[in-house]
Amino acid sequence: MKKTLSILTMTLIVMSQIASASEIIFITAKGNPIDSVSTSDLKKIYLGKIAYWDNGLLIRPFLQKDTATTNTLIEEYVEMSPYQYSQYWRKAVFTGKGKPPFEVRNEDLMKKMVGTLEGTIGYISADALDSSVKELKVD
Amino acid sequence: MKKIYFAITIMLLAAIPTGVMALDLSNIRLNGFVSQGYLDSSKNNYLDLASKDGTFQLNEAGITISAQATDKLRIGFQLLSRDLGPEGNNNFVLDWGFADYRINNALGARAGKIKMPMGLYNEGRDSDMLRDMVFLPQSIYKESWRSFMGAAQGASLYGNVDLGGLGDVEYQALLGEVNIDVSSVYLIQEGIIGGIEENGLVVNKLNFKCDNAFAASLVMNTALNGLRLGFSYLDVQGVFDGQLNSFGGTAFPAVLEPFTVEAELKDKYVLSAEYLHQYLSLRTEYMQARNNIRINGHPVLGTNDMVVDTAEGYFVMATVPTFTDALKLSALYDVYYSNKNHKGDTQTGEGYRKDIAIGLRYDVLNNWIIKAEYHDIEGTAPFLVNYNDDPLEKDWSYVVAKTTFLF
Repeated sequence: MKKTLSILTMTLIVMSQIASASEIIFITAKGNPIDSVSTSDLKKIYLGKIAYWDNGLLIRPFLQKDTATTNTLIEEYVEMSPYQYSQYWRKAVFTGKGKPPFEVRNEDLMKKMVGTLEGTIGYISADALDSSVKELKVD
Repeated sequence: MKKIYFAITIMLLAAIPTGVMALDLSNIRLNGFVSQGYLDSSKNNYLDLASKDGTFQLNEAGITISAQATDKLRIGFQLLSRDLGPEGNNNFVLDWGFADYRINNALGARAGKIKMPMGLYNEGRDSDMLRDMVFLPQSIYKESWRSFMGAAQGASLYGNVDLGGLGDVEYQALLGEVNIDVSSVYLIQEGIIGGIEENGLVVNKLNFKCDNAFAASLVMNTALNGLRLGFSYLDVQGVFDGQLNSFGGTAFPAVLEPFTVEAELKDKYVLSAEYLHQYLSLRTEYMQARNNIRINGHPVLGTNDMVVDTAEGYFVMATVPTFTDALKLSALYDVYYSNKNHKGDTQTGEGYRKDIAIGLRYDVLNNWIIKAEYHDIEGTAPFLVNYNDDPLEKDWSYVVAKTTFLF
C-alpha cells in the first residue's frame, strides 16, 4: 500500500511539474497578416508597452484565468512572478495608465475570441491548436 | 509651452468620437477598492490631532471606470474619498480623469487630470494595495503634501522607447496646474493661516492659484530583468491670495489690503532604483527639493520668508516572503532633512527625521489585504509641530494597521 501511495505521489508530482512547465503556442486571428512575434515583443505586448501591430492595427491580448499555461506565459515570457504581474496591472488600472489583457476562462473561449476579433493574440497548450486560429511563430 | 499642451488638449477632445455615449458595455471596466486603517502613535501626534489616543481616521475608497473609446483613444476616471486625520473627511473628489490618445508605440498624449510622475511610486499612492507598507516612505512621499503632489490638470506626452539590448525607457512629461481646495488642506490652515493668526490677526479669506505644475520622468527597464532605474523632476508653483479681517478689533485700511503668499515646491528631483526578483523586492530612492513659502510686501505682515530651504531625503527598503508567498515582511530605513546643509538639531530633534520600520503584508485573498507595521522614529521633521500643541518629543514611534478590499 505504501509503495502504491509513493508511486502515485511521485506520478502526481511529475505530472504537476509537466503541467506547470507546459509548452504553449501563441495564436492570432486567421485574418491577421502577422505570422511571427519576437519574445521581446511578446513581453511588451503583455505589459501593454506595445499597443499596435506593425500594420497599425490595435493589439488585443488575451489571458486565460489561473491556468498553468498562463503561469508559463507570465514566468517564461513576461519574466515576472504572477504576483508581480498582478501588481503591475493593478497599478496601471488604478492610475488610469493602462488596460490589462482581456481574461477568458478556458482554451475554447480563448480560441473563439482570438479567432473572431481583429488584432488579437492569445496562447493555448500545443495540443489544443486547431483550424479556428493561426499559430504565431515565436522568433 | 502651456500653449503646446493646450493644443494637445484640444486635439484630444476633437478625437473623441460623437458616438462615445453609445460605447459597448463589454468594453467598459469598473474597478474599486475600500481601505480602512488604524494609527496609534506614542509621545507625538502624527497625521492626526489625536493619534496618541489611536485613530481610525485613515481610510480611502475609490471607484475607477475606463473604456476603450476607439482603437487609439481610451478614457477613464477615478473618484476618490479619503480621510487622514484633519484632511479629506471622506468627500469624494476626482482623483484623476483623462483622455489618452496613443498615437503609436513610442508616443501618446493625455489630457485631463493626470497623476503626477514623481519617483517610482507617486502615481499609485492613493491605492493601498499597490505598496507593501501602509505609507510610502515619508522622506519623498509626504502624506501632508499629498494634495500638492498627487495630480495636475493639464496635458502630458508619454511613450516607450526601445533601447535594443539595453532594455527600454518609459518617459512622461506633464504640464498643468494643481487645483487645491484650500479649506481641505490641513497644512495650509495650520501652517499659513495659523502662522499669521498667531500674531493676533484674523485671515478671512485665502485662495490658491497655481501658476505652474510640471512633472517629468524617465524610467529605464534595464536588460537585467527586474531592475528599473528612474529619474523624475517636479516643480509646482503657486500663489495664495488672502485678506485679513481685523486687527485688535478695528479694521485699519492698511490691514485690509490683500496679501499674497508665494508657495513653491521647486526643482524636486528623485533618483530611483528598484529590483524585483520573484517575490523579493529591493527599493531605494534619493531626492532633493527646494521649498519656498514667502509673504510678499503687506503693510502689516511685511515681507516674511516662512520657509526657505532645500530638503533632502532617501530611503532603502527590502521586502521578502515569510513562511508563505502571501505573507511578506518589509524593512525600511527612511531619512529626511528639512535643510540638507544643516542636518537638524540632534538635541531637540528639529529639522530631521529618521524612521526605522518593520511591516507585514498578508494577501489573505487575491482581493483582500491586511498590513501591520511598527515605526521607530528619531526627529520631528517635517510638520510634526502642526499636529501637536504640547512640546515635541525627539524619540517617538507609531503602529499602523490597514486592510484593503478591491475588485
